[in-house]
Amino acid sequence: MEIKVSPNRMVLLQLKKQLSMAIRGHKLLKDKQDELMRKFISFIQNYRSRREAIDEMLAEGYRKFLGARAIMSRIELFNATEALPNQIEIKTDEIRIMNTRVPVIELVSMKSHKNYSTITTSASLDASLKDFSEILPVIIKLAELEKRIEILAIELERTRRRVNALEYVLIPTLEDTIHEISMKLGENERATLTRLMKIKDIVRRH
Amino acid sequence: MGDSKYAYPTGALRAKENTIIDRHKINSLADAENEYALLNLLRETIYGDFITEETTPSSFENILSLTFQRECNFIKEITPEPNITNLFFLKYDFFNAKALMKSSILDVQTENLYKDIGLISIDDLKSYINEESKPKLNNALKETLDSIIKDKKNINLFEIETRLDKSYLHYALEQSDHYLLLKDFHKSWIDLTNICSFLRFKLDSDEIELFKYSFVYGGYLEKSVFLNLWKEEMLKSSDFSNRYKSLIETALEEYQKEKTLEIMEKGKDNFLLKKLQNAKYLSFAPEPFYAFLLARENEIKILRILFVGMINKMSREKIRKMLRVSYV
Repeated sequence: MEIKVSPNRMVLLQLKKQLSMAIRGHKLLKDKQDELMRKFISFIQNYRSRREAIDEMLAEGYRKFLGARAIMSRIELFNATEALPNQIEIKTDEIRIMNTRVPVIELVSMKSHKNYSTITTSASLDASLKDFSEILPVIIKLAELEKRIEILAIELERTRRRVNALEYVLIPTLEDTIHEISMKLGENERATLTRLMKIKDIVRRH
Repeated sequence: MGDSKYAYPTGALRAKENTIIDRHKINSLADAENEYALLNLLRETIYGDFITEETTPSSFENILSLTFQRECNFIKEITPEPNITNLFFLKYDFFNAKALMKSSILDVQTENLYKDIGLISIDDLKSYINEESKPKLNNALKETLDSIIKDKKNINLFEIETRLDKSYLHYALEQSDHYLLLKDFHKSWIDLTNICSFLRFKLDSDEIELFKYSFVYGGYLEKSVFLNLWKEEMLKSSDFSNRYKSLIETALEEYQKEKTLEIMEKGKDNFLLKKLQNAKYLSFAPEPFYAFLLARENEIKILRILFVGMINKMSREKIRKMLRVSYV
Protein backbone atom coordinates (compact mmCIF):
# COMPACT_ATOMS: atom_id res chain seq x y z
CA MET A 1 0.00 0.00 0.00
CA GLU A 2 1.21 3.49 -0.73
CA ILE A 3 0.34 6.98 0.36
CA LYS A 4 -0.85 9.29 -2.38
CA VAL A 5 1.65 12.17 -2.34
CA SER A 6 3.48 14.22 -4.95
CA PRO A 7 6.85 12.60 -5.54
CA ASN A 8 9.28 15.38 -4.68
CA ARG A 9 12.28 15.75 -2.42
CA MET A 10 10.36 17.75 0.17
CA VAL A 11 7.82 14.99 0.64
CA LEU A 12 10.57 12.39 0.60
CA LEU A 13 12.34 14.15 3.44
CA GLN A 14 9.09 14.41 5.41
CA LEU A 15 8.31 10.76 4.88
CA LYS A 16 11.81 9.71 5.93
CA LYS A 17 11.38 11.72 9.11
CA GLN A 18 8.01 10.05 9.71
CA LEU A 19 9.53 6.62 9.13
CA SER A 20 12.35 7.14 11.59
CA MET A 21 9.81 8.35 14.17
CA ALA A 22 7.55 5.37 13.48
CA ILE A 23 10.48 2.97 13.93
CA ARG A 24 11.44 4.66 17.19
CA GLY A 25 7.77 4.60 18.37
CA HIS A 26 7.49 0.96 17.41
CA LYS A 27 10.54 0.08 19.45
CA LEU A 28 9.21 1.99 22.45
CA LEU A 29 5.77 0.45 22.20
CA LYS A 30 7.29 -3.00 21.76
CA ASP A 31 9.32 -2.46 24.95
CA LYS A 32 6.16 -1.26 26.72
CA GLN A 33 4.26 -4.30 25.50
CA ASP A 34 7.00 -6.64 26.73
CA GLU A 35 7.11 -4.99 30.15
CA LEU A 36 3.29 -4.97 30.43
CA MET A 37 3.24 -8.63 29.51
CA ARG A 38 5.88 -9.40 32.16
CA LYS A 39 3.84 -7.56 34.81
CA PHE A 40 0.61 -9.15 33.57
CA ILE A 41 2.04 -12.66 33.88
CA SER A 42 3.41 -11.95 37.34
CA PHE A 43 -0.05 -10.61 38.44
CA ILE A 44 -1.74 -13.66 36.97
CA GLN A 45 0.61 -15.99 38.87
CA ASN A 46 0.07 -14.03 42.07
CA TYR A 47 -3.69 -14.07 41.48
CA ARG A 48 -3.75 -17.81 40.91
CA SER A 49 -1.89 -18.61 44.12
CA ARG A 50 -4.08 -16.20 46.14
CA ARG A 51 -7.23 -17.55 44.53
CA GLU A 52 -6.26 -21.11 45.46
CA ALA A 53 -5.53 -20.01 49.03
CA ILE A 54 -8.89 -18.21 49.24
CA ASP A 55 -10.76 -21.21 47.87
CA GLU A 56 -9.23 -23.36 50.58
CA MET A 57 -9.96 -20.80 53.29
CA LEU A 58 -13.55 -20.36 52.10
CA ALA A 59 -14.09 -24.11 51.99
CA GLU A 60 -12.85 -24.36 55.58
CA GLY A 61 -15.02 -21.40 56.66
CA TYR A 62 -18.11 -22.89 55.01
CA ARG A 63 -17.35 -26.30 56.52
CA LYS A 64 -17.43 -24.72 59.98
CA PHE A 65 -20.49 -22.65 59.12
CA LEU A 66 -22.24 -25.84 58.07
CA GLY A 67 -21.40 -27.26 61.50
CA ALA A 68 -23.17 -24.28 63.08
CA ARG A 69 -26.08 -24.60 60.64
CA ALA A 70 -26.56 -28.24 61.58
CA ILE A 71 -26.87 -27.32 65.26
CA MET A 72 -28.81 -24.05 64.99
CA SER A 73 -32.09 -23.53 63.19
CA ARG A 74 -32.28 -21.17 60.22
CA ILE A 75 -34.00 -18.54 62.35
CA GLU A 76 -31.45 -18.77 65.17
CA LEU A 77 -28.56 -18.53 62.74
CA PHE A 78 -30.07 -15.60 60.90
CA ASN A 79 -30.71 -13.70 64.10
CA ALA A 80 -27.19 -14.33 65.37
CA THR A 81 -25.55 -13.09 62.18
CA GLU A 82 -27.99 -10.29 61.45
CA ALA A 83 -25.67 -7.45 62.40
CA LEU A 84 -22.54 -8.78 60.73
CA PRO A 85 -20.06 -7.75 59.39
CA ASN A 86 -18.64 -4.96 61.49
CA GLN A 87 -16.79 -1.74 60.76
CA ILE A 88 -14.30 -1.87 57.93
CA GLU A 89 -12.11 0.99 56.70
CA ILE A 90 -10.64 0.75 53.23
CA LYS A 91 -8.17 3.14 51.58
CA THR A 92 -7.94 3.35 47.80
CA ASP A 93 -5.20 4.94 45.71
CA GLU A 94 -3.63 4.65 42.26
CA ILE A 95 -0.13 3.85 41.03
CA ARG A 96 1.30 3.88 37.50
CA ILE A 97 2.68 0.83 35.78
CA MET A 98 4.19 1.76 32.37
CA ASN A 99 2.08 4.90 32.46
CA THR A 100 -1.07 2.84 33.09
CA ARG A 101 -3.01 3.77 36.22
CA VAL A 102 -3.86 0.77 38.40
CA PRO A 103 -5.62 0.75 41.78
CA VAL A 104 -4.17 0.13 45.23
CA ILE A 105 -6.78 -1.06 47.75
CA GLU A 106 -5.74 -1.32 51.37
CA LEU A 107 -7.66 -2.55 54.37
CA VAL A 108 -6.84 0.05 57.01
CA SER A 109 -8.80 -1.39 59.92
CA MET A 110 -11.40 -3.97 60.70
CA LYS A 111 -13.15 -3.86 64.03
CA SER A 112 -15.04 -7.02 64.76
CA HIS A 113 -17.47 -7.20 67.65
CA LYS A 114 -19.32 -10.23 68.79
CA ASN A 115 -22.93 -9.34 68.09
CA TYR A 116 -24.54 -12.41 69.55
CA SER A 117 -24.61 -14.19 72.86
CA THR A 118 -22.38 -17.23 73.29
CA ILE A 119 -24.89 -18.77 75.67
CA THR A 120 -27.31 -19.88 72.98
CA THR A 121 -25.13 -20.11 69.88
CA SER A 122 -22.75 -22.74 68.59
CA ALA A 123 -18.96 -22.41 68.87
CA SER A 124 -18.73 -23.42 65.21
CA LEU A 125 -20.32 -20.08 64.38
CA ASP A 126 -17.44 -18.23 66.09
CA ALA A 127 -14.92 -20.35 64.23
CA SER A 128 -16.53 -19.84 60.83
CA LEU A 129 -16.98 -16.08 61.33
CA LYS A 130 -13.35 -15.84 62.45
CA ASP A 131 -12.29 -17.64 59.28
CA PHE A 132 -14.43 -15.35 57.13
CA SER A 133 -13.01 -12.22 58.75
CA GLU A 134 -9.48 -13.53 58.12
CA ILE A 135 -10.39 -14.07 54.47
CA LEU A 136 -11.60 -10.49 54.02
CA PRO A 137 -8.14 -8.81 53.71
CA VAL A 138 -7.09 -11.51 51.22
CA ILE A 139 -10.28 -10.97 49.22
CA ILE A 140 -9.61 -7.23 49.13
CA LYS A 141 -6.07 -7.89 47.85
CA LEU A 142 -7.54 -10.27 45.30
CA ALA A 143 -9.99 -7.60 44.13
CA GLU A 144 -7.06 -5.20 43.69
CA LEU A 145 -5.16 -7.78 41.64
CA GLU A 146 -8.22 -8.64 39.57
CA LYS A 147 -8.79 -4.98 38.69
CA ARG A 148 -5.10 -4.52 37.87
CA ILE A 149 -5.18 -7.56 35.60
CA GLU A 150 -8.28 -6.24 33.86
CA ILE A 151 -6.72 -2.81 33.28
CA LEU A 152 -3.41 -4.28 32.13
CA ALA A 153 -5.22 -6.65 29.77
CA ILE A 154 -7.02 -3.71 28.12
CA GLU A 155 -3.77 -1.72 27.93
CA LEU A 156 -1.90 -4.71 26.53
CA GLU A 157 -4.51 -5.19 23.85
CA ARG A 158 -4.34 -1.50 22.95
CA THR A 159 -0.52 -1.51 22.83
CA ARG A 160 -0.48 -4.71 20.78
CA ARG A 161 -2.84 -3.11 18.26
CA ARG A 162 -0.59 -0.03 18.04
CA VAL A 163 2.55 -2.14 17.63
CA ASN A 164 0.89 -4.19 14.91
CA ALA A 165 -0.39 -1.08 13.16
CA LEU A 166 3.11 0.37 13.12
CA GLU A 167 4.83 -2.90 12.24
CA TYR A 168 2.45 -4.15 9.56
CA VAL A 169 0.80 -1.02 8.19
CA LEU A 170 2.48 2.33 8.77
CA ILE A 171 6.16 1.38 8.51
CA PRO A 172 5.75 -0.82 5.36
CA THR A 173 3.56 1.85 3.75
CA LEU A 174 6.09 4.58 4.49
CA GLU A 175 8.93 2.37 3.23
CA ASP A 176 6.99 1.58 0.04
CA THR A 177 6.14 5.22 -0.54
CA ILE A 178 9.73 6.33 0.11
CA HIS A 179 10.95 3.62 -2.24
CA GLU A 180 8.45 4.70 -4.90
CA ILE A 181 9.36 8.40 -4.58
CA SER A 182 13.09 7.55 -4.70
CA MET A 183 12.50 5.51 -7.87
CA LYS A 184 10.48 8.33 -9.39
CA LEU A 185 13.10 10.93 -8.50
CA GLY A 186 15.86 8.66 -9.85
CA GLU A 187 13.95 8.20 -13.07
CA ASN A 188 13.39 11.96 -13.38
CA GLU A 189 17.11 12.49 -12.85
CA ARG A 190 18.00 9.96 -15.49
CA ALA A 191 15.50 11.51 -17.92
CA THR A 192 16.95 14.98 -17.35
CA LEU A 193 20.48 13.62 -17.84
CA THR A 194 19.50 11.89 -21.09
CA ARG A 195 17.76 15.04 -22.23
CA LEU A 196 20.82 17.16 -21.48
CA MET A 197 23.12 14.72 -23.28
CA LYS A 198 20.83 14.78 -26.32
CA ILE A 199 20.78 18.59 -26.33
CA LYS A 200 24.56 18.69 -25.97
CA ASP A 201 24.89 16.29 -28.95
CA ILE A 202 22.55 18.42 -31.14
CA VAL A 203 24.43 21.62 -30.23
CA ARG A 204 27.80 19.95 -31.09
CA ARG A 205 26.50 18.84 -34.58
CA HIS A 206 25.35 22.35 -35.52
CA MET B 1 -56.99 -34.23 94.32
CA GLY B 2 -53.14 -34.43 94.56
CA ASP B 3 -52.04 -37.21 92.21
CA SER B 4 -55.35 -37.53 90.39
CA LYS B 5 -54.72 -34.40 88.35
CA TYR B 6 -51.72 -36.22 86.86
CA ALA B 7 -53.56 -39.44 85.99
CA TYR B 8 -54.80 -38.58 82.49
CA PRO B 9 -51.96 -36.22 81.49
CA THR B 10 -49.30 -38.72 82.54
CA GLY B 11 -51.00 -41.49 80.59
CA ALA B 12 -51.30 -39.29 77.54
CA LEU B 13 -47.66 -38.26 77.88
CA ARG B 14 -46.49 -41.88 78.13
CA ALA B 15 -48.35 -42.62 74.93
CA LYS B 16 -46.71 -39.61 73.30
CA GLU B 17 -43.28 -40.69 74.51
CA ASN B 18 -43.65 -43.78 72.33
CA THR B 19 -43.50 -41.53 69.29
CA ILE B 20 -40.03 -40.24 70.16
CA ILE B 21 -37.53 -41.59 67.69
CA ASP B 22 -35.28 -44.14 69.44
CA ARG B 23 -31.60 -44.74 68.78
CA HIS B 24 -32.26 -47.69 66.43
CA LYS B 25 -34.46 -45.56 64.26
CA ILE B 26 -31.90 -42.74 64.38
CA ASN B 27 -29.29 -45.22 63.17
CA SER B 28 -31.46 -46.26 60.26
CA LEU B 29 -32.16 -42.60 59.43
CA ALA B 30 -28.43 -41.90 59.49
CA ASP B 31 -27.91 -44.84 57.13
CA ALA B 32 -30.32 -43.35 54.57
CA GLU B 33 -28.76 -43.17 51.13
CA ASN B 34 -29.49 -39.50 50.69
CA GLU B 35 -31.78 -36.69 51.85
CA TYR B 36 -34.70 -37.99 49.76
CA ALA B 37 -34.44 -41.42 51.34
CA LEU B 38 -34.25 -39.73 54.73
CA LEU B 39 -37.44 -37.81 53.99
CA ASN B 40 -39.16 -41.04 52.97
CA LEU B 41 -38.08 -42.77 56.17
CA LEU B 42 -39.39 -39.82 58.14
CA ARG B 43 -42.87 -40.35 56.66
CA GLU B 44 -43.23 -43.32 59.00
CA THR B 45 -42.82 -41.10 62.07
CA ILE B 46 -44.98 -38.33 63.52
CA TYR B 47 -43.19 -35.93 61.19
CA GLY B 48 -44.96 -37.70 58.31
CA ASP B 49 -48.13 -35.72 59.03
CA PHE B 50 -46.44 -32.67 57.54
CA ILE B 51 -44.79 -34.44 54.61
CA THR B 52 -46.77 -34.48 51.37
CA GLU B 53 -45.88 -35.81 47.93
CA GLU B 54 -44.62 -32.34 46.97
CA THR B 55 -42.42 -31.89 50.04
CA THR B 56 -38.72 -31.71 49.27
CA PRO B 57 -35.79 -32.22 51.69
CA SER B 58 -34.92 -28.52 51.52
CA SER B 59 -38.15 -27.68 53.35
CA PHE B 60 -37.10 -29.76 56.36
CA GLU B 61 -37.10 -26.72 58.68
CA ASN B 62 -40.79 -26.29 58.00
CA ILE B 63 -41.59 -29.93 58.78
CA LEU B 64 -39.58 -29.81 62.00
CA SER B 65 -41.04 -26.54 63.24
CA LEU B 66 -44.66 -27.51 62.46
CA THR B 67 -44.25 -30.82 64.27
CA PHE B 68 -42.59 -29.17 67.23
CA GLN B 69 -45.32 -26.56 67.43
CA ARG B 70 -47.98 -29.28 67.48
CA GLU B 71 -46.14 -31.16 70.23
CA CYS B 72 -45.80 -27.97 72.28
CA ASN B 73 -49.51 -27.25 71.90
CA PHE B 74 -50.26 -30.77 73.07
CA ILE B 75 -48.18 -30.29 76.22
CA LYS B 76 -49.72 -26.84 76.82
CA GLU B 77 -53.15 -28.49 76.76
CA ILE B 78 -52.48 -31.43 79.06
CA THR B 79 -49.88 -30.16 81.49
CA PRO B 80 -51.21 -30.13 85.06
CA GLU B 81 -48.56 -27.65 86.22
CA PRO B 82 -48.02 -25.05 83.56
CA ASN B 83 -45.59 -23.05 85.69
CA ILE B 84 -42.93 -25.72 85.02
CA THR B 85 -43.61 -26.42 81.35
CA ASN B 86 -43.93 -22.68 80.82
CA LEU B 87 -40.26 -22.43 81.76
CA PHE B 88 -39.54 -24.26 78.56
CA PHE B 89 -41.81 -22.06 76.44
CA LEU B 90 -40.49 -18.92 78.08
CA LYS B 91 -37.12 -19.65 76.46
CA TYR B 92 -38.76 -18.83 73.12
CA ASP B 93 -40.18 -15.55 74.43
CA PHE B 94 -36.65 -14.60 75.37
CA PHE B 95 -35.45 -15.65 71.93
CA ASN B 96 -38.13 -13.55 70.23
CA ALA B 97 -37.28 -10.64 72.51
CA LYS B 98 -33.63 -10.85 71.42
CA ALA B 99 -34.63 -10.88 67.74
CA LEU B 100 -37.05 -7.97 68.16
CA MET B 101 -34.59 -5.94 70.19
CA LYS B 102 -31.93 -6.45 67.55
CA SER B 103 -34.30 -5.44 64.73
CA SER B 104 -35.36 -2.38 66.69
CA ILE B 105 -31.76 -1.27 67.28
CA LEU B 106 -30.60 -2.02 63.74
CA ASP B 107 -33.84 -0.57 62.39
CA VAL B 108 -34.51 -3.49 60.06
CA GLN B 109 -37.72 -5.35 59.34
CA THR B 110 -37.36 -9.04 60.07
CA GLU B 111 -40.51 -10.96 59.24
CA ASN B 112 -40.78 -14.70 59.85
CA LEU B 113 -37.74 -14.73 62.07
CA TYR B 114 -39.54 -15.46 65.31
CA LYS B 115 -40.60 -18.66 66.97
CA ASP B 116 -44.31 -19.10 67.58
CA ILE B 117 -43.89 -21.36 70.57
CA GLY B 118 -43.59 -18.78 73.33
CA LEU B 119 -46.16 -17.66 75.86
CA ILE B 120 -46.65 -14.15 74.56
CA SER B 121 -47.58 -13.12 71.05
CA ILE B 122 -44.97 -11.51 68.83
CA ASP B 123 -47.19 -8.43 68.39
CA ASP B 124 -47.44 -7.89 72.14
CA LEU B 125 -43.72 -8.33 72.56
CA LYS B 126 -43.05 -5.97 69.67
CA SER B 127 -45.32 -3.28 71.06
CA TYR B 128 -43.64 -3.59 74.47
CA ILE B 129 -40.16 -3.25 72.98
CA ASN B 130 -41.24 -0.33 70.82
CA GLU B 131 -42.77 1.23 73.95
CA GLU B 132 -46.19 1.46 72.27
CA SER B 133 -48.14 -0.45 74.92
CA LYS B 134 -47.55 -2.36 78.14
CA PRO B 135 -48.91 -5.91 77.74
CA LYS B 136 -48.43 -8.34 80.63
CA LEU B 137 -45.04 -10.02 80.43
CA ASN B 138 -43.16 -12.50 82.56
CA ASN B 139 -41.45 -10.57 85.37
CA ALA B 140 -37.90 -11.62 84.52
CA LEU B 141 -38.39 -10.79 80.86
CA LYS B 142 -40.04 -7.48 81.70
CA GLU B 143 -37.27 -6.42 84.08
CA THR B 144 -34.54 -7.34 81.62
CA LEU B 145 -36.26 -5.60 78.73
CA ASP B 146 -36.81 -2.50 80.86
CA SER B 147 -33.14 -2.38 81.81
CA ILE B 148 -32.10 -2.84 78.18
CA ILE B 149 -34.50 -0.17 76.92
CA LYS B 150 -33.11 2.16 79.59
CA ASP B 151 -29.47 1.50 78.58
CA LYS B 152 -30.25 1.09 74.88
CA LYS B 153 -27.80 3.77 73.75
CA ASN B 154 -24.88 2.53 75.83
CA ILE B 155 -24.93 -1.21 75.25
CA ASN B 156 -24.05 -3.31 72.24
CA LEU B 157 -25.86 -6.24 70.68
CA PHE B 158 -23.68 -8.79 72.44
CA GLU B 159 -24.59 -7.29 75.81
CA ILE B 160 -28.30 -7.21 74.95
CA GLU B 161 -28.38 -10.86 73.93
CA THR B 162 -26.25 -11.98 76.86
CA ARG B 163 -28.37 -10.08 79.39
CA LEU B 164 -31.53 -11.76 78.09
CA ASP B 165 -29.97 -15.24 78.02
CA LYS B 166 -28.56 -14.86 81.52
CA SER B 167 -31.86 -13.55 82.81
CA TYR B 168 -33.68 -16.58 81.40
CA LEU B 169 -31.28 -19.05 83.02
CA HIS B 170 -31.50 -17.27 86.39
CA TYR B 171 -35.28 -17.26 86.26
CA ALA B 172 -35.49 -20.93 85.22
CA LEU B 173 -33.19 -21.91 88.09
CA GLU B 174 -35.15 -19.85 90.56
CA GLN B 175 -38.49 -21.36 89.48
CA SER B 176 -37.21 -24.92 89.64
CA ASP B 177 -36.05 -24.53 93.24
CA HIS B 178 -38.63 -26.99 94.61
CA TYR B 179 -38.04 -29.62 91.94
CA LEU B 180 -34.77 -31.42 92.67
CA LEU B 181 -34.32 -32.94 89.24
CA LEU B 182 -35.05 -29.69 87.42
CA LYS B 183 -32.92 -27.70 89.82
CA ASP B 184 -29.98 -30.02 89.20
CA PHE B 185 -30.69 -29.83 85.47
CA HIS B 186 -30.64 -26.03 85.43
CA LYS B 187 -27.52 -25.86 87.59
CA SER B 188 -25.74 -28.24 85.23
CA TRP B 189 -27.05 -26.25 82.26
CA ILE B 190 -25.56 -23.09 83.73
CA ASP B 191 -22.24 -24.83 84.47
CA LEU B 192 -21.95 -26.31 81.01
CA THR B 193 -22.92 -22.99 79.45
CA ASN B 194 -20.16 -21.32 81.47
CA ILE B 195 -17.65 -24.01 80.52
CA CYS B 196 -18.54 -23.63 76.83
CA SER B 197 -18.27 -19.82 77.04
CA PHE B 198 -14.97 -20.14 78.90
CA LEU B 199 -13.50 -22.45 76.26
CA ARG B 200 -14.83 -20.32 73.41
CA PHE B 201 -13.42 -17.08 74.80
CA LYS B 202 -10.16 -18.53 76.08
CA LEU B 203 -9.20 -20.89 73.27
CA ASP B 204 -10.53 -18.97 70.30
CA SER B 205 -10.21 -15.31 71.13
CA ASP B 206 -8.61 -14.81 74.54
CA GLU B 207 -11.21 -12.24 75.63
CA ILE B 208 -11.55 -12.43 79.41
CA GLU B 209 -13.83 -9.39 79.68
CA LEU B 210 -16.40 -10.93 77.37
CA PHE B 211 -16.25 -14.14 79.38
CA LYS B 212 -16.76 -12.23 82.62
CA TYR B 213 -19.80 -10.57 81.10
CA SER B 214 -21.19 -13.88 79.81
CA PHE B 215 -20.70 -15.74 83.08
CA VAL B 216 -24.00 -16.98 84.50
CA TYR B 217 -24.23 -17.24 88.29
CA GLY B 218 -26.11 -20.04 90.01
CA GLY B 219 -24.31 -23.15 88.80
CA TYR B 220 -22.18 -25.55 90.85
CA LEU B 221 -18.96 -23.96 89.59
CA GLU B 222 -17.93 -20.57 90.95
CA LYS B 223 -16.67 -17.77 88.74
CA SER B 224 -13.30 -17.84 90.56
CA VAL B 225 -12.67 -21.39 89.24
CA PHE B 226 -12.75 -20.07 85.71
CA LEU B 227 -10.82 -16.90 86.40
CA ASN B 228 -8.03 -18.88 88.09
CA LEU B 229 -7.83 -21.12 85.06
CA TRP B 230 -7.66 -18.26 82.58
CA LYS B 231 -3.86 -17.96 82.77
CA GLU B 232 -3.29 -21.72 82.50
CA GLU B 233 -1.50 -22.70 79.31
CA MET B 234 -2.69 -26.30 79.33
CA LEU B 235 -6.19 -26.95 80.55
CA LYS B 236 -6.98 -30.24 82.26
CA SER B 237 -10.44 -31.73 82.72
CA SER B 238 -9.79 -32.16 86.45
CA ASP B 239 -9.38 -28.39 86.78
CA PHE B 240 -13.14 -27.90 86.49
CA SER B 241 -15.14 -30.46 88.42
CA ASN B 242 -15.37 -34.24 88.59
CA ARG B 243 -19.00 -33.87 87.63
CA TYR B 244 -18.04 -33.01 84.04
CA LYS B 245 -14.60 -34.67 83.91
CA SER B 246 -15.08 -37.16 81.09
CA LEU B 247 -17.03 -34.68 78.98
CA ILE B 248 -14.36 -31.98 79.22
CA GLU B 249 -11.56 -34.50 78.76
CA THR B 250 -13.02 -35.66 75.42
CA ALA B 251 -13.74 -32.08 74.38
CA LEU B 252 -10.18 -30.90 75.11
CA GLU B 253 -8.67 -33.89 73.29
CA GLU B 254 -10.86 -33.14 70.30
CA TYR B 255 -9.92 -29.45 70.43
CA GLN B 256 -6.21 -30.35 70.36
CA LYS B 257 -6.77 -32.45 67.25
CA GLU B 258 -9.45 -30.60 65.30
CA LYS B 259 -9.53 -27.10 66.84
CA THR B 260 -13.28 -27.34 67.27
CA LEU B 261 -15.62 -27.37 70.26
CA GLU B 262 -18.32 -29.40 68.51
CA ILE B 263 -17.72 -32.36 70.83
CA MET B 264 -18.08 -30.13 73.89
CA GLU B 265 -21.46 -28.91 72.62
CA LYS B 266 -22.56 -32.43 71.81
CA GLY B 267 -21.41 -33.58 75.27
CA LYS B 268 -23.34 -30.71 76.85
CA ASP B 269 -26.58 -31.63 75.04
CA ASN B 270 -26.18 -35.33 75.86
CA PHE B 271 -25.32 -34.62 79.50
CA LEU B 272 -28.40 -32.44 79.98
CA LEU B 273 -30.71 -34.88 78.24
CA LYS B 274 -29.39 -37.76 80.36
CA LYS B 275 -30.05 -35.67 83.47
CA LEU B 276 -33.71 -35.47 82.53
CA GLN B 277 -34.00 -39.09 81.44
CA ASN B 278 -34.69 -39.96 85.07
CA ALA B 279 -37.91 -37.96 84.80
CA LYS B 280 -39.33 -40.93 82.89
CA TYR B 281 -39.56 -42.77 86.21
CA LEU B 282 -41.57 -40.02 87.92
CA SER B 283 -45.29 -40.66 87.60
CA PHE B 284 -47.00 -37.77 89.32
CA ALA B 285 -44.71 -34.83 88.77
CA PRO B 286 -44.34 -32.04 86.22
CA GLU B 287 -40.77 -32.98 85.31
CA PRO B 288 -41.69 -35.64 82.68
CA PHE B 289 -43.61 -32.99 80.73
CA TYR B 290 -40.61 -30.70 80.70
CA ALA B 291 -38.35 -33.63 79.83
CA PHE B 292 -40.61 -34.61 76.93
CA LEU B 293 -40.33 -31.14 75.44
CA LEU B 294 -36.57 -31.20 75.78
CA ALA B 295 -36.48 -34.68 74.25
CA ARG B 296 -38.49 -33.48 71.26
CA GLU B 297 -36.24 -30.45 70.87
CA ASN B 298 -33.22 -32.75 70.97
CA GLU B 299 -34.81 -35.03 68.37
CA ILE B 300 -35.34 -32.06 66.08
CA LYS B 301 -31.69 -31.15 66.49
CA ILE B 302 -30.74 -34.70 65.45
CA LEU B 303 -32.97 -34.53 62.38
CA ARG B 304 -31.58 -31.11 61.46
CA ILE B 305 -28.03 -32.49 61.64
CA LEU B 306 -29.06 -35.37 59.35
CA PHE B 307 -30.78 -33.12 56.82
CA VAL B 308 -28.11 -30.42 56.76
CA GLY B 309 -25.39 -33.07 56.58
CA MET B 310 -26.98 -35.03 53.76
CA ILE B 311 -28.11 -32.04 51.71
CA ASN B 312 -24.60 -30.58 51.91
CA LYS B 313 -22.88 -33.93 51.28
CA MET B 314 -21.08 -34.06 54.62
CA SER B 315 -19.20 -37.30 55.26
CA ARG B 316 -21.14 -40.03 57.08
CA GLU B 317 -18.46 -40.10 59.74
CA LYS B 318 -18.84 -36.39 60.38
CA ILE B 319 -22.66 -36.61 60.54
CA ARG B 320 -22.54 -39.50 63.01
CA LYS B 321 -19.99 -37.65 65.11
CA MET B 322 -22.40 -34.73 65.51
CA LEU B 323 -25.49 -36.78 66.34
CA ARG B 324 -26.90 -36.45 69.86
CA VAL B 325 -28.23 -39.34 71.96
CA SER B 326 -31.92 -40.10 71.96
CA TYR B 327 -34.19 -39.69 74.98
CA VAL B 328 -35.50 -43.24 74.57
